[in-house]
Amino acid sequence: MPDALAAHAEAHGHSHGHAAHHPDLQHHFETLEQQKEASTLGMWIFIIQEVMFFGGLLAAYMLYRIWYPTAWSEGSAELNIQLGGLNTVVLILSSLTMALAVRAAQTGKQKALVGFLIATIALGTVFLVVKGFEYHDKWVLHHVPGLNFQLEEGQVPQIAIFLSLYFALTGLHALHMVIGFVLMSVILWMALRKRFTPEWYTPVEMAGLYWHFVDIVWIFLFPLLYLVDRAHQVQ
Amino acid sequence: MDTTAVARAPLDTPETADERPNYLNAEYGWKSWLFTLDHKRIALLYLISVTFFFALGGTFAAIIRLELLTPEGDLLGPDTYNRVFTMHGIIMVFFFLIPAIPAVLGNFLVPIMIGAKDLAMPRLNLASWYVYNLGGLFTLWAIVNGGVDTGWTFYTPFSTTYSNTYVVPTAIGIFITGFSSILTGLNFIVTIHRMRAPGMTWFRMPLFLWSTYATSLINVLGTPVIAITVLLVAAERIFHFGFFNPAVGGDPVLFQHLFWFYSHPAVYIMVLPAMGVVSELVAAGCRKPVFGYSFVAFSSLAIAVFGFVVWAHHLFVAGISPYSAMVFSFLSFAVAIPSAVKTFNWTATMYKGAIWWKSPMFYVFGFMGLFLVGGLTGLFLASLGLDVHLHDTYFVVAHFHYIMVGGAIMGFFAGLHYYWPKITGRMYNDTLGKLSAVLVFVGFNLTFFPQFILGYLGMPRRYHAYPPEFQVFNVLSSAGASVLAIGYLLPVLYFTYSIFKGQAAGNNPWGATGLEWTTQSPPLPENFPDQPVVTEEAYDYSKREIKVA
Amino acid sequence: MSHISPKSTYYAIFGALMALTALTVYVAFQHLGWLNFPVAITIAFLKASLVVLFFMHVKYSSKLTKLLVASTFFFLASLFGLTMTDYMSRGWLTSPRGTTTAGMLPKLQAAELPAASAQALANPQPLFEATCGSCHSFTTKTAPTLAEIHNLYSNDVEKVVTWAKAPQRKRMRFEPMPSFAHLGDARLHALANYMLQQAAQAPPAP
Repeated sequence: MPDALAAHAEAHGHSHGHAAHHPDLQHHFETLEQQKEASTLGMWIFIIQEVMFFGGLLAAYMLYRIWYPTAWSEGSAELNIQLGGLNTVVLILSSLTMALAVRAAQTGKQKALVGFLIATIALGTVFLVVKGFEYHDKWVLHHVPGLNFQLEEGQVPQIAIFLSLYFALTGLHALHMVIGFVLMSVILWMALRKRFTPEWYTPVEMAGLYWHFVDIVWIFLFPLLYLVDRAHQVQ
Repeated sequence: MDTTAVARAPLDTPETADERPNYLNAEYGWKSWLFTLDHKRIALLYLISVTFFFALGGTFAAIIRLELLTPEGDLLGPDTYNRVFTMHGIIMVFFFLIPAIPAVLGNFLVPIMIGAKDLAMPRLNLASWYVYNLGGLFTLWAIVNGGVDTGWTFYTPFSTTYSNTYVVPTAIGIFITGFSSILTGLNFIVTIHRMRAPGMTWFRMPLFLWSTYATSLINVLGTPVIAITVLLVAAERIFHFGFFNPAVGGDPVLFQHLFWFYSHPAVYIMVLPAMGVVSELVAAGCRKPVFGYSFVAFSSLAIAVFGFVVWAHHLFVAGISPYSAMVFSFLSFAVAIPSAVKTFNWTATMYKGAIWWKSPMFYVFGFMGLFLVGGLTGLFLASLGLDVHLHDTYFVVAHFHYIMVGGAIMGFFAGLHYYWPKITGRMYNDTLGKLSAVLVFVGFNLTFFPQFILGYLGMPRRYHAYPPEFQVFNVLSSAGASVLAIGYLLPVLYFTYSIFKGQAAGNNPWGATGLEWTTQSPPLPENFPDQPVVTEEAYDYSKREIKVA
Repeated sequence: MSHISPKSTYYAIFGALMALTALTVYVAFQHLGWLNFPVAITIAFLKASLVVLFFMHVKYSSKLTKLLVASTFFFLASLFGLTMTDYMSRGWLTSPRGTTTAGMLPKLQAAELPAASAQALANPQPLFEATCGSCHSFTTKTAPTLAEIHNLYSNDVEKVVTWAKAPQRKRMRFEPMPSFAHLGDARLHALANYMLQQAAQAPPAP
């Protein structure tokens, strides 16, 4: 660490007139603490705006669920509760590995950090693969509105709205997972180059916040989409 | 604290232009501008972009007013007219009014006003400018290909099912540009929370920062909802999902709810920063602290919060429940209160103030009168019974132009005229500045006051042809628009001239308080040579001497 | 520096999340009626809170962070809540002439309509197309379909006529039906007959 600081001071070509600062401290901040607080606040605000983003879709969901309870019941029955449940477990597990990755960074455990990041990425990939299978099933069954939708016997036409919301909500969620995947890969790459120390591991923590948010969205989507009126389907 | 006005010290401007290092001459070359991380340069990049879009939107306005000179639809066919007013609205709202003051004046001033070296996230700031332009490109592409004809409000099911114009690219353009607003708002909130100079408590901040903070809250909370809404419109056009299509059980009014959930707070995004500028100028222009500082500060927050719960007053005649309409009508009356608080406090500030009559103050007084009219006519529209008569007439058009143009754009120009010396280090020709302000004021009233009458008499908006009895008011309106155009063109000329030949401004040409006036004009790249420490309250004009070093 | 949670905390929270997931699936298959939805949402909120407080460290974060997280739900709630004030209260206010356009249109009084001709009564189809048919067909989405009406009334023409003269408001998702008393008894009977016959003769709904 002292080598990095010395190299950094040299690279500047001048002394700061105060103690040499951490190479990861950006010049417009006074302390690492201030920088970390700013990053954290920024990421939380970003997450809040993402919540409002999903909120618009959820408002549509809420209205149409009240209007078309039969469509919701029939539509939910069409979803594979085992795969949905599996994905829920996988994603929550990935949140655990992410939290442990941040902890590893906090405690300076380089190998554990890399290991947990890889685990998180792997679990995220499992989620997306399972989702891919689900979407394929939907395609095969002609349940994709706008592309190959066919109403089946005994179904109310508004099931198309349920399925549209299913694809919109899970599709948007999956897109955020893909972005998370890219984000995690960058963090992993940085971790492999030993960029993180207990003094500065902010990107790991920020990526963690994003990942947990994606998990929380799914925690709501699972019951909203997969668990509607299941009691009445068990005859 | 002595709240009577302070006599103004004689203006002390240096003989020659300031050749000291500053943010403008620190580096040269296009890369130093397009890859800059300096918030001040980014502010100027935004100024160029928003000016371009303002000119484009203004051109569409000119075409509208030309068509409306005669009762017949002779200049444009009905479809073309639909496209022209739609593009005028989209460009002016999303690409000019929403970004203008925050991205230009906010970006420039926020770090300096709080005593910081830059915003919290300079790279994100630059990225926001690129994102804004990317969104603009999508919309420009749509314009070049014939534009959109749905109205800037994109009401369904016309926009989703029946319109055969380039709705999807425009929707994507708005979606992308929305992120620029969100990220800028995010940046401002973090900066104001975490980077205030030592001694700069919340209640010592200039009121412009309170307004900017409130605006940023709206940006962060509201813009995502319009983002998802335009995405749903695009999805419906492409995949025929049916969210807003009654034939499959959807509700077109749901679109209106989601659209206006953002678009009403959006109007506060447009006007709050202008109010912030006015607060600054009223204090400086009257040499007095703003009357009731904390009331004005909290009223900014109140406008932001209340602004989120009034949106359905745009849906009064769309078929919503009358009970719901009553709730929203009541809330719409309530939202006028914080704005009124500001207006009263500005007026009280002026009482026994030593007002100096330079260009910025001309724009400020213009704002006060025009915003007052605009705000009061909003109450007309908030009344359920009146709205049934006035909805979708020129009364509404006049109302929102009084706020948007008479309020927000006046505020923007006031800010430009006030901060130009700080931004460029040059003074512009003040006589021309005053002339422009007068032309804008006269031209504006001539353009839009007849529209109140037209609306009251029943002329609908978005019509390219109208009954002959409405012609005289339309002609007055179009005549006013020509005067208004001249008023807006003049500053381009004298501002540009001032960059090359303007008199040097010095640190504090207006003798105002605030950290921004303690630095050199133009400021250093890092704003301050040493970390400033704040020991005074805001607008502390009690000292008889104002340093103008 | 920031708080470092022991690993055991994370494992415990994970365990709780798994338990709550199992619980929510279990409860979904129980017959709780209208309670199923609130229970599911409550469990989801609990799970989300655990993630927010412990995985995202909000429990150990600044007051500002806590305030931000809490206020998000306020804004989301206002979006949902105020939107629903519209939808939930539609149809509460029903004046005698109705609040819809259909209700606002001037209606011919019974005295203004000429007496129905025998021919018109024998073949009510054109009248049906012009009045009831615009809302009540086999595929309508804005009002009960003919099949549903037939289900409700089977062959009871009188009940249909009584309803058409003074419709009540039974279903929130449809606009209130205006009264058709002005058509007069003769026409109403012919129309009701026609509608029920059409529904009876139609093939079973898909």
